[in-house]
Amino acid sequence: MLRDGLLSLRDYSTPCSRHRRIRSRLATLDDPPVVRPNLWPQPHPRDSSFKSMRLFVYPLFDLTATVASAASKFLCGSYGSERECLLRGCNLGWSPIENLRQHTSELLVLMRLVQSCTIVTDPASADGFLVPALLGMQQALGWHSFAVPTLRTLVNLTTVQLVEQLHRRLVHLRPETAARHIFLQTVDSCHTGLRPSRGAASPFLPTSSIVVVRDGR
Amino acid sequence: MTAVEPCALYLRDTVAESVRVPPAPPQHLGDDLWTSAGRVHQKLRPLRRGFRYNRSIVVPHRLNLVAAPMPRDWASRTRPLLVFGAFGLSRHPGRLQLARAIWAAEHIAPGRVHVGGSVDSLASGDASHRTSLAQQARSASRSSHSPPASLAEAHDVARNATFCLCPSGDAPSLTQRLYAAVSAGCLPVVIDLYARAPLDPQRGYPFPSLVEWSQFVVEVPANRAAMPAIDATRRGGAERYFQALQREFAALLPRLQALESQAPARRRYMQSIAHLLRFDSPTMDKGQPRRQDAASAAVYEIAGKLGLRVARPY
Repeated sequence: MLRDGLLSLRDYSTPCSRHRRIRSRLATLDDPPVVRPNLWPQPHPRDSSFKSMRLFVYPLFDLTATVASAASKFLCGSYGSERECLLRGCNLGWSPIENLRQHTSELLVLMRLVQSCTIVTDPASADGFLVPALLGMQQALGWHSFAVPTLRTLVNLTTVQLVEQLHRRLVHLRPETAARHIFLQTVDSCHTGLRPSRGAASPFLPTSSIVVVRDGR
Repeated sequence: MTAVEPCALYLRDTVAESVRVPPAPPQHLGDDLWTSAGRVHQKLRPLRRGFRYNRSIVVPHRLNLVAAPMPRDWASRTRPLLVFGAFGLSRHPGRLQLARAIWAAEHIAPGRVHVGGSVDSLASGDASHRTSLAQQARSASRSSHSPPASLAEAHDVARNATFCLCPSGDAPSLTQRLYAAVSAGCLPVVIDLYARAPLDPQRGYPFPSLVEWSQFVVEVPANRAAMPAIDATRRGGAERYFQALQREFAALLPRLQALESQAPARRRYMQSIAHLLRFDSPTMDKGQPRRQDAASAAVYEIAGKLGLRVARPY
C-alpha cells in the first residue's frame, strides 16, 4: 500500500509522468548509465532514522496535485522527457539557464519527508505539522506563464487564492503550534512573506514557523 | 498515537481527487508577487527587510545539470584556469562593475581568467542586447573570452577552473551557480551584490549544521561586519556601501591568486560534502551505494528545528 501510494504521487508529479514509456528513449541519450533523471531519488537506507519524527500532514492533495501536475506538463509536455526539455531550453524565452526545475527543491523535500517520517492522524501526537502546498512552485509557475501561454490553463489558482484557501484549511495553526508548522517555499527569498490579502499587516506564514526556503538572508 | 502509512492520507485517491478539481478560467499567476517582491536589478539601492524567518531551512537549488558527473581531480594541485565566471552583465549593474574589475586585473594571471557574459544574455536572440554587451565590453577595454554557448559547456569550463564567480542574480538569494560550481569541483566565490538594511554579519547557507561553508567558499564582501552601515530611509544611503564593494572587486583577483595554494585542501573538503548539496544523485557512485543527499539533509535540519535527535546524514 505504501509503495502504491508513493508511486501515485510520483507518477502524478514527477517531471515526466510517462517515464516508463520513455525509459527506452532515455537509454539512447548520453546519460551515464547510473543516472536516471526521470526517476525520483529513493530514500537512503539511513533515512530510516527519520522514522522517529512524527508528522501530521494536512490533507491538501488537491492543491498540491494541481501545481505538481502543471509543473509536470510544463516540463514534459512538449519534449517527452525532462532531459530533452533542459537541453532544448524549454522555458521558451525566460532564460536558457533557468527554468522551473531549479524551483522544484521543495517537491523533493516533501517527498522525502513523506517517505521517511512517521505520519500520524492525531495532531496531539505530532512532532510537526507538514503543509504540503508547493508555494514556491506555484509562484514560479506564475513567472513562467509569461512565456508559456498554455501554462495558464494548467493551474487554477493564483498564489494569493492558494494562500487564502490554505488560511482556511490549516485548522491546527495556532500561536502555540506555529513553531511546529513546516511550509515549503523554495523560491528567491524576496518572495517569502506572503500576505493573506493585499495590505495585510502580518504575513501568512507565521514568522516562528519552519519555512523551507532557498536563501535565508 | 496512531501511525499510518503516508498513502492513507493526502496521497490517497489521487485520480479521483484531481478529477474533482473543477476547470477554471485561465489565470495569470504571480503578478502580484512580481510587483511587490522587491526584485532589484536595475538600480543600486538597498533592500529593506520585510519579515524575518529565523527558523527557516535553507536548501540548495535543484541543478539544471541533470547528469553532470562529479569531477575526478578534487585533490589535484592546480587547474588550468584561475577564475571562471559566466553571467549576464546587464542583469545587475554590480555585475558589470565586477567584470570590469576582473578584466582590469587580468594581467596578473594571463590566460588563466575566463570571465564574460553568459548564455542568458547572449542567447536571448536580442541583437540590441548583444550590441549593448559588446559596447560594454569595449568600454571596459577588453573581454576575456566569449561566453560559453550552453550550460553544459559552462560546466566543462568550470571543471578546469580553481575559482568560479557566483554573483547574485535578480534577487538577493544564492543562485544556481553556487551549486553548479560545487558540482564542477570549482571553489565558489559568492558575491553579494545587494546592500541590505540591516545586513546580517553572516550569510545564510544551506545546512549550516552539516556543512562548514567557510572551508571552501570565498565571500565578497570578505567581512560583512566591516561594511558601511546603510540608512535605507535616505536617498543615496547606499553609496558608501557600493563604493566599498567596488574596492573589494578591485582586490578580488589578487586575493584569489593568493588563495590558490590552499585550493587542493579546500576542494577535498568540498568533495566530502558535495553529495549533501545535490538532489538528483545517482543511485550508485563508483560502484558503491550513494550517500545521503540534499533531501535527507533537509529532513535532518527540520528534525533539529523540532528539537528531535536523528542520525546525522552520511
